[in-house]
Amino acid sequence: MTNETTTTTETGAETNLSTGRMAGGGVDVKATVAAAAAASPKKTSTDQVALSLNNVGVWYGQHEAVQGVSFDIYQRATTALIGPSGCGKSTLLRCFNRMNDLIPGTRVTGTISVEGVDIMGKDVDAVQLRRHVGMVFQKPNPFPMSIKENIAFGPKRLGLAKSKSQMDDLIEESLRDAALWDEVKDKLDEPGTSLSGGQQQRLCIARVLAVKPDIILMDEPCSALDPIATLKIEDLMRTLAKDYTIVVVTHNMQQAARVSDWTAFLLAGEERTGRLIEYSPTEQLFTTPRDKRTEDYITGRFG
Amino acid sequence: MSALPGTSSSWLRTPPEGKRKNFYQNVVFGLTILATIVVLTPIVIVAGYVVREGLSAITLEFLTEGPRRDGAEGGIWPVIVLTGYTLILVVVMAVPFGVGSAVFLSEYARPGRLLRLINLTIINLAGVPSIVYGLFGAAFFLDILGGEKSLWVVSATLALQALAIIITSARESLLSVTRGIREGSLALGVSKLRTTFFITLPQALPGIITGVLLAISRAAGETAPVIVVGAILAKNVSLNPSAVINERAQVLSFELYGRITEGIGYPEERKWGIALVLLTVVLIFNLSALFLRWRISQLGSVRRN
Ligand SMILES: Nc1ncnc2c1ncn2[C@@H]1O[C@H](COP(=O)(O)OP(=O)(O)OP(=O)(O)O)[C@@H](O)[C@H]1O
Ligand SMILES: [Mg+2]
Repeated sequence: MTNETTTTTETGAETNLSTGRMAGGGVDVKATVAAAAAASPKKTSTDQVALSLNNVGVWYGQHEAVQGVSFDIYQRATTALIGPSGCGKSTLLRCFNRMNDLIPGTRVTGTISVEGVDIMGKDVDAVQLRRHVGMVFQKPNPFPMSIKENIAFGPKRLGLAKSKSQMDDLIEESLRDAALWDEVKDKLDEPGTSLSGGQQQRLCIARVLAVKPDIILMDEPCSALDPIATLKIEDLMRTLAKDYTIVVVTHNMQQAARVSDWTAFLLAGEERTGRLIEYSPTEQLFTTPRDKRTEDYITGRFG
Repeated sequence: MSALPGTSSSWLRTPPEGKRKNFYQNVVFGLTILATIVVLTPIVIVAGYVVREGLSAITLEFLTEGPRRDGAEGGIWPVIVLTGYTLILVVVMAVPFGVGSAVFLSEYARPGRLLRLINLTIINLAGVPSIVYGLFGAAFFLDILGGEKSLWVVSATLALQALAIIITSARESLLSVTRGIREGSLALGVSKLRTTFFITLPQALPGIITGVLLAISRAAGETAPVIVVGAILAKNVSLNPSAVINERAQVLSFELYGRITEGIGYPEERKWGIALVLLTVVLIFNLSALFLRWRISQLGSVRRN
């Protein structure tokens, strides 16, 4: 764990990419992956599939945003979705808990199964599904309530805690698991919005943990945070990966390299339809990519 | 080391074009203050005038007793009570339907041409002259439903008008609740209905209350429609709540209008007295809504169990 944290200080590649310069970007990422892999071995077991995608496509009205995506996401591993802006990462991620249902005119084709169950099936209740597949958003979105109530909201509405003491235990446990307890234990009644951005994001993670999901989806969870807060979330993700299946969308390749075991690279062509270009163990994808386009992307030659 | 003469930290000083910008800023600022004063002055003058002219009419008798000698003496107690009944009934009828429709329109209805048409219609309804509501109320409640000219018909007519205002404003405040917190709740596996109830509505509540308040204040001041559906001048009647069905409406707005147009023989200061009472009723409504908003914001930030 600590080793990982030290490697994160050399965030060269990220800045290079965002400013459009490419010098040495790929090399840095490679070093990061190697260091991260050395620090905590990447989990590349393919025994247990958590989420399986088969020829998944997504349409927003007449626009095909994602096409023909097939791959398996493995249990208790962290999978990163990377790719240039607009390639359909968020779109794909939001299929996993059927968040796209809420956008009128969206259509999903193909099959997605969670632990063997086709979640697009007519008899599957999206509301139930979302309990098992939690989601953390790009912008921290605490509810306009106290810290405590932010955590209690889900369990209370879903009837997960029988008594007040059970609820208090659940609140503490969730906050501890989200590495936030020590910072907020004395101000549980203060509004969630009074926390810093990074704390708010961890509050949102704790909120998700409180309803005990199996899979946690994160859509660029650190993009609104400063480097220190980002590191805390990344550490947290590594810890959570012991018990949860995590799927994370990120623009930051260093981050993908550090936190993920598997990486999927998506790319959209002229017609703005995203396709899966490569899906491999993270180490392999960043050190010896199979596809030329992956290589170009991770070395910062476009995107 | 000495700084270059004349240039040291000159970037800190406002450049000439900046000074001009500041000048314009001040002018605009001054204008907004002026506008506020222009708007406030008549309000203060009117309110002050009403108080000055009407205060002498405000006696315990005026406020707590029924009219004598056709209202020229005695008080307006029945009018006050029945105005209260009328407005409460407007709230009871318009708020659940109004907020309910707003929730449906903003949260559940499928966006499209039909929804846009409906929204446009409602916004236009909010702007329809009140006398038209009066005519409609008379035609619908009295002629078609065959109701008596009783208090509830007045309330129902006023509620129709209030409905349009409430739906429009409630819809706006529901739409202004950020997508982020809704999605946050939905993503926890909380149903849409519960999310609406426990996240969206509480967030929108202050705005909804403001809209309701606006609608009620307006209803309190209407004269034309209440005349059409049968409001009467002050009269001694039984004031228990069954009056809603058994009695005709007596409302302050019509009492005032009636006394003004009736003219001769009605003491001048009593007219001002009625106006003062009407203003006070509206003020009480406004203040209680403010208080409610304040309470809600307190609850929201501390605890809500
Ligand atoms: N609600 C929507 N309605 C219509 N089109 C949409 C909607 N959301 C996304 N799209 C389109 O789908 C495509 C993929 O968008 P998406 O947000 O999934 O990309 P992304 O990879 O997450 O990009 P970013 O990295 O910028 O977040 C884009 O072309 C976008 O314009
Ligand atoms: Mg995105």
